[in-house]
Amino acid sequence: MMALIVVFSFLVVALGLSLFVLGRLGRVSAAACYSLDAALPAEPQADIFVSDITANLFSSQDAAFLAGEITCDSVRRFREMRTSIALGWVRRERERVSCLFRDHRRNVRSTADLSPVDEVKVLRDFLSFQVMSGLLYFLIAVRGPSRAARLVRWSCVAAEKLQAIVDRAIPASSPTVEVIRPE
Amino acid sequence: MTFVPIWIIGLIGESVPPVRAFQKDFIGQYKWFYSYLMSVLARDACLFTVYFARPKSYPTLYWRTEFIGVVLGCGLVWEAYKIALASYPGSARMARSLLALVFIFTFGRFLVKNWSAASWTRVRTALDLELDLRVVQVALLFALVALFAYYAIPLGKNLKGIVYGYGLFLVTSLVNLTLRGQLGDSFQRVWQYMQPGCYMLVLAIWTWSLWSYRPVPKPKVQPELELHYAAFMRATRVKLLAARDRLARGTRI
Repeated sequence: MMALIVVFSFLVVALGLSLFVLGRLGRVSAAACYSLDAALPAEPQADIFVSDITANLFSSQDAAFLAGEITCDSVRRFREMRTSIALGWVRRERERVSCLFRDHRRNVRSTADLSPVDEVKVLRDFLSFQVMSGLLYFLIAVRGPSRAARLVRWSCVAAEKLQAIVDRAIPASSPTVEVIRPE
Repeated sequence: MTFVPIWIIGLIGESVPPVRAFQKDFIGQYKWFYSYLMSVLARDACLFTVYFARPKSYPTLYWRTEFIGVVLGCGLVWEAYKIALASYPGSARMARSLLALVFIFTFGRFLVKNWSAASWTRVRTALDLELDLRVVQVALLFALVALFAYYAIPLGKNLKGIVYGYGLFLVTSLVNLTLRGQLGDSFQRVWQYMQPGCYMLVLAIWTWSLWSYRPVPKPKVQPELELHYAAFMRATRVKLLAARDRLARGTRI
């Protein structure tokens, strides 16, 4: 009987905690968030800057060059720093997207012409970004940025091959495709 | 006879929030909640009398009047939805779709379970029926709370207390009823103390949160955000896809 009471208490506490966490999750702290315009810069210059950073971060050229020139300890420290910067970059991207999504929810909640179907689509896009960035974060933390990039490239090639096989096997008769690309 | 003091404390606890709301003149702000609480108070007072005057009639009366609380509880959930989302038409629209979906799903499950050919002739106990209806209520309330959290809807101290208190009450009822149904009479002894214990906690939450009138905060209206929804939604999606694209391009360079 004691075990039952313990299980019962555990269930009540777990449900109470989940309600509490849900309540905390929804609090929008505007101060901690970027403004909507600054959240995700669309200027080409910023994008080129990001490309430069990521090109160097995820490339293995620097590490290969340094491997022959400096001590093993320094190479290890270089890799650690690079991993830390890459993780910081992914974290920052996740924060930006979280802020964008929070702003979106805060703004649309008062809009009378909100469409539930479109909201589900936005949520799906957000979740797919979260899954993708979470996976990338894990890969970088475990394998380092250059190996993670290699793994991403390999999986992209594999996915493209798989897609080609599927396309050949099942020819699309009248596909309905919705394409939204960043301008 | 140790449950008699618990019973009396319960009756006092149930009468405190309505008396306080009547004193402070905000009883009309939460009509369904106070109707629910006063009906429970009347029922408990009635059961208390019957228990000593005509003990044999007590179980029948207990299960028959239990459904009044279940029905008024639905009204309480509806009131929470109406009050919290009055200033948020967008979220209210989403809530209607979500609640309709949850209701169809849970109530459909309830109908299928009860009207299936195998159990058509089976006499269902009041306990089973109440358990099923509580599942519907829990699902609806949980969906509503999740939506409040998702859209960061401020509830105010009063409504937060009502919603969380009732949520706790539903969950503990559900667990109690499930254990009572699974374990039968062996659980009865524990149930006699566990159910009032949980209910005392719920009453304490309600008394604390409804001690004075704290309405739902009004949203700050920002005219520049009066935008065209479709364009705004499209902009968000484009930015989300751009972020995903940047992440992919960054690692593929």
